[in-house]
Amino acid sequence: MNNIILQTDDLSKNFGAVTAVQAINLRVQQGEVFGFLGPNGAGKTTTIGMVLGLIHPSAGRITLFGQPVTPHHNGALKQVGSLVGAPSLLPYLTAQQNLQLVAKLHDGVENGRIQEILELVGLTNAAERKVQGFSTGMKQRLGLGAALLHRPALIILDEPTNGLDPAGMREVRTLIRQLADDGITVFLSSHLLHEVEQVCDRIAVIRQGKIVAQGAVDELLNQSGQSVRLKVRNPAQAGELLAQLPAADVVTNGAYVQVSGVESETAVAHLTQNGVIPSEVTVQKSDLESLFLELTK
Amino acid sequence: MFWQMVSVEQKKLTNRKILWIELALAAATAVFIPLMLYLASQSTSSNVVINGPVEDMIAWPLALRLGIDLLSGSGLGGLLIVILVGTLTAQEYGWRTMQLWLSNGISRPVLMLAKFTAVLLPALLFVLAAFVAGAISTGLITQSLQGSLPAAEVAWGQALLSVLRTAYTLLPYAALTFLLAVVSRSTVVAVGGGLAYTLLIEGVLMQLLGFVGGIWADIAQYLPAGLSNSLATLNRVTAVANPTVPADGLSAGTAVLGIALYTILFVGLAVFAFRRQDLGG
Ligand SMILES: Nc1ncnc2c1ncn2[C@@H]1O[C@H](COP(=O)(O)OP(=O)(O)OP(=O)(O)O)[C@@H](O)[C@H]1O
Ligand SMILES: [Mg+2]
Repeated sequence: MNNIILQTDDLSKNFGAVTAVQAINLRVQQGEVFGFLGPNGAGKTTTIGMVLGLIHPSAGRITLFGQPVTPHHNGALKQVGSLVGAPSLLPYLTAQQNLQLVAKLHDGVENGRIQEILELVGLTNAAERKVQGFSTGMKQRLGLGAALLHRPALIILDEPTNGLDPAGMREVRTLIRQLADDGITVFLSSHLLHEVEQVCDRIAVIRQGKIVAQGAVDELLNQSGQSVRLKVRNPAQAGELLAQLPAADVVTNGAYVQVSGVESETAVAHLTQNGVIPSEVTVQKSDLESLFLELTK
Repeated sequence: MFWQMVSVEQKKLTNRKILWIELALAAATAVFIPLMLYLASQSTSSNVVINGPVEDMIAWPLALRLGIDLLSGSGLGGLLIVILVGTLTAQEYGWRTMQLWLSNGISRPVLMLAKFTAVLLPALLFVLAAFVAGAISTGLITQSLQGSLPAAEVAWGQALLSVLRTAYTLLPYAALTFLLAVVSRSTVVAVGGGLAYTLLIEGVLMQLLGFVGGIWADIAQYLPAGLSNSLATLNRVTAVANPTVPADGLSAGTAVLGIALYTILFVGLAVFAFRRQDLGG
């Protein structure tokens, strides 16, 4: 059994009448890249806020490195680095000064480490520039640098590639894998599914505040079946026809209609009987995207 | 961890333009006022005669009080400290700086106390800046009026004590603004509320209670402004003790204690409120 370093037990949060997070149980194991997936408003940021001691849980517990974490007891967070949403940077300070301030809070972060981090996130040349003039991507990279500065054992990232261009996103993905190879545990929230699919070992999917699936990416993909994608002249009409089939689950997508829960032969036969001839038929093994859409429907 | 955090806050503070602008403002006012009085008295068309009260105001030794008196809580000192504390504290909610420190494992009370501790220095610097700038400008004026500086008549130790006392009387206003900033998370509310109390509400209240008299007038003395006034009667810049210590004033000890209690109360409430806050995105 792997070592669990972050655990939530029946963690819940209500904002007045709104239930943002409802009794979730997460298990993050040491050394893994854990993906936390969910559509907008599912409760990802709220959950992370509670884990970071910023938001008071309405119920439940958080255990980090064996210690409880609450807003009143957050010492365990010393071993955590985090980047949640737009990075918390002081606009009137330079990149280097921002890192120097964070360094003051942790023992053993020497000046060389700051240079190392600036290099790692590609900001060596901008080190002396004020953050207020930074682009979104530069700020994001600096925020990531600040999170890594004190060599945390766990790093928690809430949509870290927000605002990054494709090259920047790839850099961050590479960095995440690299961190994992160095033995750092990564907790990554995202709704960019290919991103998660590429870097994560295990995932949890949250929907309307509840965990709807949790496990290794491969296992979850194997559990969910395949789907059939058909190209047709009139996808809306084809969609309606396919929906008549028992257990069929239909999504129309541009010129395509995608159906799961049905064999491809059955789907094609049903369409042709009704005078709709598909021009293209592909059987797709479920990818994370369709799994996600299925789970969060 | 507390002192590390204070040092973080100090470092942030000294990098803020607003601190230096306010310091310059304190100094400039202390230069400007005696200079205007002096120029007015020098112009030929003026019938202001430089003697008696006006000369005391702009010539050493008594002119050294000018910078100190200017920076009282109900005057420029209150204005500057309220704007500084309100801006610094509330802005950090927007920048999510609070979240940064907390998610690095800093405890909430430590963060709050360090933040407040860090503004003690600017309070002192404001009064000191006005004192020093006023001393220089009135020194030059004195030289020009009297041909020499009566430096021997100045009790520098007393003057510095007066600077400290005045800075101390700014604390309740700093603490009140701090509380407003934490509770509202808004610069406008914190600065607006702080200024309204410091420059308006308290003054009106003092007048009103004094007007009603009796026990109400006594209560007015226990407002921050009343306590500050009591403490200010001790301020002096010469070896001669102040002639007008009102018999019915509060004792210095009471005033010091009262100011401390207000400060502790407001900061305590701010810590209490902060501990309960949800600091999401
Ligand atoms: N401070 C708050 N007050 C009231 N409701 C809130 C608050 N914060 C979050 N919520 C609600 O809680 C739910 C979860 O929000 P949360 O920000 O955690 O979602 P998310 O999964 O991070 O979404 P996104 O992908 O858009 O970032 C939403 O319905 C949101 O409106
Ligand atoms: Mg979010």
